[in-house]
Amino acid sequence: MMDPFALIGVPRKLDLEEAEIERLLLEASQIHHPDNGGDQDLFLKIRLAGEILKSPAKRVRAAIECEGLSFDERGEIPDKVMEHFSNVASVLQKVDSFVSERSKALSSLGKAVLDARVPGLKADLEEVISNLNELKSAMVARFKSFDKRGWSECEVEMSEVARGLIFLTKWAAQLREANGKLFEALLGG
Amino acid sequence: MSEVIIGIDLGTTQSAVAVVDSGFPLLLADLEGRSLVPSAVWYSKKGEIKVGHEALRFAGIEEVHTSVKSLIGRRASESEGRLTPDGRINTAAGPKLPEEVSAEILAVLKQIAENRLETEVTKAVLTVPAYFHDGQRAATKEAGRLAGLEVVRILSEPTAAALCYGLDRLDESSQVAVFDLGGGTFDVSVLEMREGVFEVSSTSGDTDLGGDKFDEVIAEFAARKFGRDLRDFEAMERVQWISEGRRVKLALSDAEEATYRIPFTGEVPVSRKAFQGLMKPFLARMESCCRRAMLDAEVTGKDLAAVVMVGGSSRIPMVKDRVAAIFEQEPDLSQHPDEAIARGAAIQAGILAGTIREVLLLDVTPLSLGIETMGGLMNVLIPRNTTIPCRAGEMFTNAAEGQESMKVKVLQGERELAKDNWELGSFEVRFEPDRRGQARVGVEFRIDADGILSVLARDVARNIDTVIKIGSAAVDVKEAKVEQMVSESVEFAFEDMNARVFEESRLKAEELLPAVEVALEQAGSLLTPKEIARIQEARERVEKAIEERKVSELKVSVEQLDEVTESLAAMLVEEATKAIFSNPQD
Repeated sequence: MMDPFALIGVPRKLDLEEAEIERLLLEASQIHHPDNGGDQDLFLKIRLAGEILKSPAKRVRAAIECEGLSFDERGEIPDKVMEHFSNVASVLQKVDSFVSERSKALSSLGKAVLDARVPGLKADLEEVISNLNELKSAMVARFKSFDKRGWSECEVEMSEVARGLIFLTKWAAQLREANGKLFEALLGG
Repeated sequence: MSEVIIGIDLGTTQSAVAVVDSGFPLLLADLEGRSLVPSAVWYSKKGEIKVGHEALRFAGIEEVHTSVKSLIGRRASESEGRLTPDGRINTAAGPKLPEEVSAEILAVLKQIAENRLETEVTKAVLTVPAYFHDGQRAATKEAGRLAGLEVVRILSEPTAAALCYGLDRLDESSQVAVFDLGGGTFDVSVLEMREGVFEVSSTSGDTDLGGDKFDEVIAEFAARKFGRDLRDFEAMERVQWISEGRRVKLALSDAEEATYRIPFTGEVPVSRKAFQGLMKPFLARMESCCRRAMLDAEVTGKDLAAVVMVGGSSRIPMVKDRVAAIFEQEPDLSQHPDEAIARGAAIQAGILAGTIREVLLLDVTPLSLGIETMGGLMNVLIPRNTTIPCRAGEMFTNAAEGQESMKVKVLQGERELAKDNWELGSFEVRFEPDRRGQARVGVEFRIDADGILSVLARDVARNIDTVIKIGSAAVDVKEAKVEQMVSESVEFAFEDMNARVFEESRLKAEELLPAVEVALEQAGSLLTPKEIARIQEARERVEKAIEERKVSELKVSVEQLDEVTESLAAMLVEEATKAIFSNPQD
């Protein structure tokens, strides 16, 4: 198991600023880029480490593994995250069915009637996104305490947070994609 | 002196070659002082070849091959009849691959560079549209090889333009967008420039959108006015009409109205407004790509320090207006639209040759790379906009005892269904004989700095890598049955919680469960107890899966319920048909 913290020289803690990670990643990328005579394998490892550290979900997971502890990806998911599952699913479904109906509509009037649904959909999307963001911030806020107590002391909590964050990240990506589909459908003429 | 590496912009309508001299990128001109070479090739029956301005002298008299770039790395089915079934262009000198025709243009550019630099040139950086997929990049690289050039890098065009724009702004830290609308392709990229490091944040585009299309719609418009259809025209006549369309398009950039003229046929006035109407769908597609790129980079127009416009078609006023509206700022027109890309290629060549030291480029892969999974879905391994070079690993395991191999389809694109994406090809993973789920082979996907894929199979036990050859995709052959595949990875494990799949299956279950109830009441007596038991069992399985929110279980169980109720459904239909046709008086 590689240690992403060591690879790009980031302090070994969870509570990190993204700008700080970015800066160190850029520095390391610059030095080890193959175009600058760097080693390609090392460069790939550095980029991978950067991806891991920049994502809070992957960062906690890496921390667990760095401690030599095992991460159970099938374990329990925090209730607070599960509560949002149906909301995410239903708003994604709504966007999908809008996009599909929109693409099948043949008349401008038919399209116009459908387009009237867009502001509502957009608001729904934004609401779910903002709820997820709030939850994410709350989970990331616990990083400080994990650092303070020592990672090996909070294995179970960290695993649970990691699993929760993985879902939040995944859903956020799906929601962003749905947002993109929404305007693509509108611009589709 | 360090070795010379030239930068080449191999464009759809014209090409150029540049080199870095004392830290500054210079375009190289031919003996007549012209630095843009039309991307046109003429062949005689005897095999004589003319390129560029010399080739265009034959235009309208004999066949001249232009816009070959839109065919490179494409399949016959994507070429609107311009390629033979085996992917070649019919020329007077016989069928030729698009990369062979492009190589003629590259050879001329190489010659221009050698004349100007008075030295042999063997290495080059070639540019391609950012949105070119693996096949198009590989074919472009091959064209370079055929022209006697070692292609040291395939560079994305908007990235090249950004290098050219940013070279004298190295001390600035800012985010910029590059809007590149050329003769055949459209790209838009968002980049971050920090202390000489150019990092691409996102890129989007359309490889079938550019000036050529605009010429064509004007020609179509004119043809309709004469009650004719451009599609019915002979090749030569079509070329004539489209090139008149081009002339009118150029004129409309300065004038409010232009006249479309075809000798012995007549004239049609074309107003800017009419042109605007014809451009509407293209402008919408452009806007869609721009918004996608901003969304992916997580920026808004206000975050961007500049929107740099390059490519010949960025001269069209309504394109400029639309760009200003989308990005909420006046576009930056400081770069020469036809020269910036070649200059940028020369800068990257300088970086690789070591003559430019203060600049570094971190580019991305424009398209997501994935494999086809069970059910015909695309499983993304490397998401779009990942910095290259990059790699991703995937574990494959045998789905049945004694299974010897598995076919894996490799895809590029953004669509959820595998069939909607571009198929790079497929390869076989070979297993050692073992119990189900025990044989495991790790496969590594690497995208190099050229954006080109290679695949390695890793024997985990012995730590040996073997390069896997990807067979090119069969042309438009629908396989009767996609081979079943099980792939396991960390991400895949979480497919269990895929909200979209869950919701789809849940909706189907909601339709099926009450239907089963009704159907059993009406036709249950016609079934054997065994059949009824199977239906009940499947129904309970679905209900349980909904309750436990198990996505993959729900998907499978709903499919099972669908299957076991098939005969019940058929019986109901039969009963209903009987009822309609039977005579109640009987």
